[in-house]
Amino acid sequence: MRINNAGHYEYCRWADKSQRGAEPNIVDVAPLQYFKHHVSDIRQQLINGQRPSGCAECAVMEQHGKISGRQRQLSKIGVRLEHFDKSLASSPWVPIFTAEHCDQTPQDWQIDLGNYCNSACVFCSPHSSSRLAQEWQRIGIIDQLPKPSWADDPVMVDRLIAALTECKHIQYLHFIGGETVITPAFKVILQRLIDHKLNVNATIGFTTNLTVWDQTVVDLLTQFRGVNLGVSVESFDDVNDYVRWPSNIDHVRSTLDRWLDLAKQHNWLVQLRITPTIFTISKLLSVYDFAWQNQLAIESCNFLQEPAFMRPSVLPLQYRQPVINSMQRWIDQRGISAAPVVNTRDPTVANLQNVQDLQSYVTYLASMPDESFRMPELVQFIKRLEGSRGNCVLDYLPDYDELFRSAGY
Amino acid sequence: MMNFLDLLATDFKLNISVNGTVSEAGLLDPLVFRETDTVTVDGFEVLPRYQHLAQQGRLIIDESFYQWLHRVTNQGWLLKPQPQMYPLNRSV
Repeated sequence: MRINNAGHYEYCRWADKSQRGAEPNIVDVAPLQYFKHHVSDIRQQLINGQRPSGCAECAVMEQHGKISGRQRQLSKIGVRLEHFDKSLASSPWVPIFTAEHCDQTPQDWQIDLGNYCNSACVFCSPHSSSRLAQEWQRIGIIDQLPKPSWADDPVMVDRLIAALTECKHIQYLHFIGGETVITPAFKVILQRLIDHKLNVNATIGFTTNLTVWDQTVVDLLTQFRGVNLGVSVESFDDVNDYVRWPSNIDHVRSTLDRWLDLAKQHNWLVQLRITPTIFTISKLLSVYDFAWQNQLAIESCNFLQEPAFMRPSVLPLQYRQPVINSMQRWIDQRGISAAPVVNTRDPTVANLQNVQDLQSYVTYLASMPDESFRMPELVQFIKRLEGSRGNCVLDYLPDYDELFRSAGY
Repeated sequence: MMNFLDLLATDFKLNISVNGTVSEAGLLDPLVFRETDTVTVDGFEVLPRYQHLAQQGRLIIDESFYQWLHRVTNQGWLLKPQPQMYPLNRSV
């Protein structure tokens, strides 16, 4: 279950983005009321063997061999796809599946805390970055800034905390922003969870953009049972500066080292979080190299869908082949057969998982239809952005000079 | 194709091979093997692979086989339902 930046509930953190906003809002419906009553339609669809339209992104991931949110969540209730029937019938949740009404409370939540962010990543949206929102408004891409987050309202935070205190079996709370570390509500909620002793059993997950540090947040996090730390980086090449603007890769590296030291001290799980786009797909191996050397797993939520003109599949086929070749070489050199690893949070198989994940990009690039017809739209967009930022994509990706210029750059 | 409730109502069996001799057991039955046996369950190698889990010469699987498999293969959290506060099949 998820509460998104606008305060709308989502029955799944991976559910189709186009449906965000269609579900009730925390302003109108209490969290547990939503979980117990409003999600019942989705549960019924699943029981009837239907595939809710919101599940489309997971279907694409599975098609290309990437471990999907569906697989990860099924694993948490003991269900494995390769023995679906029997593992499902063996799940401790069978009595709950067949019950008329849901008497459970959530054990695994994603809570989006609004768009406070000091970064303006090119693929991001105003709903997830306040800095990007201000820039887009200034250059006329949007007229109005997004509404303030639900998490800015102390009454709504109280409502969330009240719900969480009823969830005595809460296992995992995953927070995202914006940039979580600088989001005021993050600190408030962590402190309130500690006050209610929910830190004893709960693991906190969050993702940071590796440009900020807040010792107060760190001190709060160390009081939880566990922390799953996601660190966002697209490449250790300087193209990361262009994509995760206005970061600086040297500063990102030093902040990453600081987080890694902290994670080691406290036995936190660290994952490198990537969002591959047309800009970074050819520079991705630097992240896989780093992950391999440090035995860290790489994870991405999905294959980028929006903005459509930044999908890696916008890269024409002749540009993809060298990328596919280098990725395949990397995989072959590691000499590990990519047996399916579903538990992406098992650090002992991080390298195996990374091979499997990289293989999914090889499959994706080799099989996705050419969407290079979107190049003019991409060029139009980045020219507008670069006019504001004073940078130039070709300084970072000189090999794409002809590609971008032929699309009007 | 079976729907979800049909599936849950099915009487599934585990296919067990002990030293080449094939048999069946109930899906949720506890299983006991001699640690020196060569065992597969539904095609998964159980012994000798998990011989280190045997005690006093026997490997005892006293939970459902698939929950045990989840655990021994490091599949991460296996969330359990909370105890019910009231009967599940109540009507509103």
